[in-house]
Amino acid sequence: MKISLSWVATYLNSSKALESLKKQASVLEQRMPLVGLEVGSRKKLSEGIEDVVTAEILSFEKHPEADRLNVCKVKVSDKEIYSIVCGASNVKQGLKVALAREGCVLPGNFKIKKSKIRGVESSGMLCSESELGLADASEGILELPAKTTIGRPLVAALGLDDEVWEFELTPDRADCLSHVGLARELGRYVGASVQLPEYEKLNFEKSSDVPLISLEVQAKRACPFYSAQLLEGFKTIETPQWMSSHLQAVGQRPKNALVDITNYVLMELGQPLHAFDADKIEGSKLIVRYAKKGESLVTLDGVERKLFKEDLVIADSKGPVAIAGVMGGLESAVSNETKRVILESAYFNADSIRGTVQRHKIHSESSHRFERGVDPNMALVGAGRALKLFKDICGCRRRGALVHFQAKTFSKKLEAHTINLDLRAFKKVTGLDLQAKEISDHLATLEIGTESRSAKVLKVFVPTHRVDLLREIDLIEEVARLAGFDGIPTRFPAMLSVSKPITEGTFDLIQKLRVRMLGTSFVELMPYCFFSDKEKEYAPDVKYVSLENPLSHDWKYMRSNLSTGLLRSLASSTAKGEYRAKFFEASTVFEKRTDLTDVALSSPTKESLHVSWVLLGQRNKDHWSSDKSSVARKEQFDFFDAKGAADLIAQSMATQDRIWQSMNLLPLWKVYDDPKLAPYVAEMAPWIPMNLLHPGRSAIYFTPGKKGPQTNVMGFVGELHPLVKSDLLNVATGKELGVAFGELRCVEDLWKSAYEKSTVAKILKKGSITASSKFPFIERDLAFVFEKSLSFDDIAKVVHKQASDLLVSLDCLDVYPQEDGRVSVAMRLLLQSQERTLEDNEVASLIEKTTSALVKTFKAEQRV
Amino acid sequence: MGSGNLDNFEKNLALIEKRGLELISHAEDLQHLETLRVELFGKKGELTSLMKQLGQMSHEERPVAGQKANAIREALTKSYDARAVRLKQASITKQLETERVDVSLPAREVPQSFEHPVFRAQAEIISILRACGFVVEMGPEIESEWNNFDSLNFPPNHPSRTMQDTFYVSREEKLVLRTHTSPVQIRSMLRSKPPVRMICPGRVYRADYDHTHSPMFHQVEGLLVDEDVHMGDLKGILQYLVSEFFGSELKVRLRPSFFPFTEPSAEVDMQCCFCKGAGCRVCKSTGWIEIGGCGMVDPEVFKSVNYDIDKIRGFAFGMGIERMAMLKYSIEDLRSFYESDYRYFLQFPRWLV
Repeated sequence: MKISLSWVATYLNSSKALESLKKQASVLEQRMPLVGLEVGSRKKLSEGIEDVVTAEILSFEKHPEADRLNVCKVKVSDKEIYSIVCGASNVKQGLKVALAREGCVLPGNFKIKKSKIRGVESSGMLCSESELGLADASEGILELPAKTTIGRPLVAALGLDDEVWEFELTPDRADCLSHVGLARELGRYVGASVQLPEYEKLNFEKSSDVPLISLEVQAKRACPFYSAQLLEGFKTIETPQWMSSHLQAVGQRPKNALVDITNYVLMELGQPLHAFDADKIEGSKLIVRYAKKGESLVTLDGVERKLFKEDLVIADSKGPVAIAGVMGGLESAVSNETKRVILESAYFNADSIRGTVQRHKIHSESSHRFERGVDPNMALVGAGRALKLFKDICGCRRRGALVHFQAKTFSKKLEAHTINLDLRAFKKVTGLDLQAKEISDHLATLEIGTESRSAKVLKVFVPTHRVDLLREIDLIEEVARLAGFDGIPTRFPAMLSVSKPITEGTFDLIQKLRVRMLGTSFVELMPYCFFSDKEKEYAPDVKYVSLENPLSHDWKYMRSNLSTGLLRSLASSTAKGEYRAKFFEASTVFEKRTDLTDVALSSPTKESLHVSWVLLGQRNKDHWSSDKSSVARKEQFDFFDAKGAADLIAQSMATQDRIWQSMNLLPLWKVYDDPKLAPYVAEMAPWIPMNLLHPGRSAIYFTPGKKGPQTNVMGFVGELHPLVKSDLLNVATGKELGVAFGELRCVEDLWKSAYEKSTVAKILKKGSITASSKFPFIERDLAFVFEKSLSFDDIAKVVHKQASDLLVSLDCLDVYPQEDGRVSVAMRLLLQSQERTLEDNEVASLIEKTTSALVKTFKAEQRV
Repeated sequence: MGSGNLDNFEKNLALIEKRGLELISHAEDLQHLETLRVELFGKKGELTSLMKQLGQMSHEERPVAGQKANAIREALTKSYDARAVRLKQASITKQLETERVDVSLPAREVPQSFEHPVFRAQAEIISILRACGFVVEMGPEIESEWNNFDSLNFPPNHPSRTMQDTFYVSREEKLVLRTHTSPVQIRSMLRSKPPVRMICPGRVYRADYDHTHSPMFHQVEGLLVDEDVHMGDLKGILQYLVSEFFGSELKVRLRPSFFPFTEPSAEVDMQCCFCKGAGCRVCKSTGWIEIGGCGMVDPEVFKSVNYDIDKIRGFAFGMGIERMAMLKYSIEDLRSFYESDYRYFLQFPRWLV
């Protein structure tokens, strides 16, 4: 809400109000927010143009060197006559103008200097409205009225010695959406109270005049009060200067008096009015009703709006002419040619207006007020105020009586209502200890009356403009606001025991996973949780949660996995020329429920906790010391780096749930080859972005259950599919750039069981930790040539079986393909006993046993 | 054998001693010194071979000669040891010199992790409030309109709903992306009876995007419900949180405002952490910075969770974690939180220690 200080001051009953307001402006700017009225901005209208003066063009002649320029003789006083070069086309002899002389600094820090323009000296500038900061755009120089006295500051001549304040009001303070309303709040600080402007007291008495317009209100609940007056005989429709400058100050562009008076009353009293061109109203009859099916209306903003049957409209005998309380129709709007006006002043129910506003996504000064609630008393006052202004300014008269409708229930709304305020309740809520007298005094400053009901209870009379004060608690806030929150004593609430939190375990688990990843060298990211159409296709089988009103096409769906977002981040890294990164995120993903048969489920959507990580580029950073010939120097991150992170997460999760200890993996190509497993994985974990994975260098993680070792799908690790790599990362095809990533689903369906007991709250008891052996360990290296189809897992299983308890660890030392297509694998066994020093022959026989088992089981060939 | 033998023996001994000491003192390196040791008094060395002559000597001469020979061996050994120490020292000195490096060359990278500033701030706020006896609760991001609005006293179509530009998942099913963490309050109160003392951190969404608004951001919200709670307690908790989080005695003030779910409602301001209230660019010369909203829980909210409004009262507060992180770590650009500028992020560890 924008107000002009000088305008506001006209409603205060103190002649010094404006002076006090201006004097205290800086203090008030700090204090208003402390009573809940936020000052968004404060601007002096004269800012930057204080030094501009009024002047007159005595004569002008064409510039000798330029056709479009004129050299003007400009008079400020008898002693001050300047020669000024001007390019505007509207210069003429005798024109009163705004002159910026040498040394003057205009808005935008534009300094006026004496200069030569194409050889002719110019000692200043004749200003346009835009150069003065009075308008966004303007044509030619500003033309001042002919009677303007020259040699005066322009600010005084234009009445710009004013300040404009913009209040950022909360939606409850509908009473402040007017100059009168804010005068009430500001008046408290300058010892003045509000006086309404002059208005004609209208009454409903039968007039002998025959009404020339008729009214029918069908929607009585949505429109409990409606009034219309027929005005004619306009002598002028020119808006007076005082009204234009007030309207301009608060950002309204003056048009003609017919429009401006309605706007003025709205800004003044907060009562929206509407002016119809009476000659465009068919049958001289107004009907307030709901729109009918198929009706539409072109509103003032030029938009054709199809009306809904819930929309309240004003109609004539032909059809709708205005959307009630929101916006008038273009056709029936007043114009410079209008001869007769029907002036509407009404009270529309907020609910009805809100619905229309939402359905049409329309907003106007009028709807803004009706939506929040207008003082019911202002409908008649507004009509009377407008009538007075019309008569005074346009010299018109009203034909016939005031035409009106008032619902029976409305008269009750016109009286102040009472609320009891219990002083004890006030103290219990606010902590402030105020006496009844103090409370009464605070309320009195805002015309809120009180009387004492008992020692501890006040009866409060709430005036009709305070539509926000309905309950005792509202009054408690009002008094606390006026007394000031600063006076509330600070206290620290006593500790108390509360019931056990249900979902705290979820928070702690996320923290644990993050700490685990932060313990390595991963960078934590927080990308947006939205997917684009393209990103959705990476995991196409998910039932996506989509947004009905996305901000952009790229943000249409809620993510089903985290890795896509991290890969998006990788792409923005490579776009900046950063080819090395390690990112992770531990957070939630979304999907629609596929199975809605369980009625206990409270939501049709599902949120699960995931952890994902991506690695890009070279494993080790280039260093001046590294061996330039070494292949390792440029080694890229690959599958096995990603797998390492999966191991870490699995270890962490194993302390929550033992099932993670038996997590196993299958290569993706094997999953694809299995006619049962492939669809099973797609059904159980559609979120896995299969289309991004290199089938030969990726794996799916499972844990065992009722359906065997591959019962639960936990996630994946892998390398990026070569076909999507160049596209996704925006790097030249062929550039060697390793991208490995992985993602595990840590908790499926986080909130499903929140009402019973937390699934993630259970943390297993710590396992016992065995002391390390005191006896020496023995290392033995073995190498074999195997068939290519074997996996290291198969080999390790046999070794573990043979070496059993004595095998502390089994490392793979080397893997390389033979010319014959087979693969040579070297491994190192670390053997140790908890009880004794191992004997040479004992070790020898164990190695012998293992070797022969491998040879026998796999037809392996030992390499020596 | 006569005394001539002894004379001769002693003469030879003297020669060995003189020559030996001379050679040892001039030995150039440890290897040379070792050669000399072998030559002079090794198993097959000069002294050893000379001492073989002892057997041919008389009983009287033998001890004398033996004594003398041993004395010379000792002298040579001593000289050898001394020389060896000196040579070793010289050699290590030389080695240390040749092994010198240019310490100004760049170090080898120690890979470092990076905690996102928003989550770091979140974790700090949570641990401060946990110390005040608040428990943590979490909740879904896709919420029913009832949990997000109706139960929190937002009337349908009311302009207060449009204050929070809402993303709709389904208008028909009345599902939204939660616009604040307040629905978690509702869920908690529906589950448990008073007293309640909980905080809920989490991601929230609003359909707004410019340089100071992100469609996705984080909030942390606190709720305390008990029989004797007033605005002074709210002030106390907020003052403690601000002092602990910013690590200095910045004052907190409440400024009247409006939220549908609280009455009275207030904005939470703290003294500007950059100028300590003196006025600067960040606080627009006011000395105060807004960090969140708060108030006493509106009775309508208690009604929607079936709490007895005559018996209990409560306060609630909420703040944007991004904002807190920006203030604490002097981060100017909100959008930098959601982008992945690796180099930009790597500046942080310096500040986040």
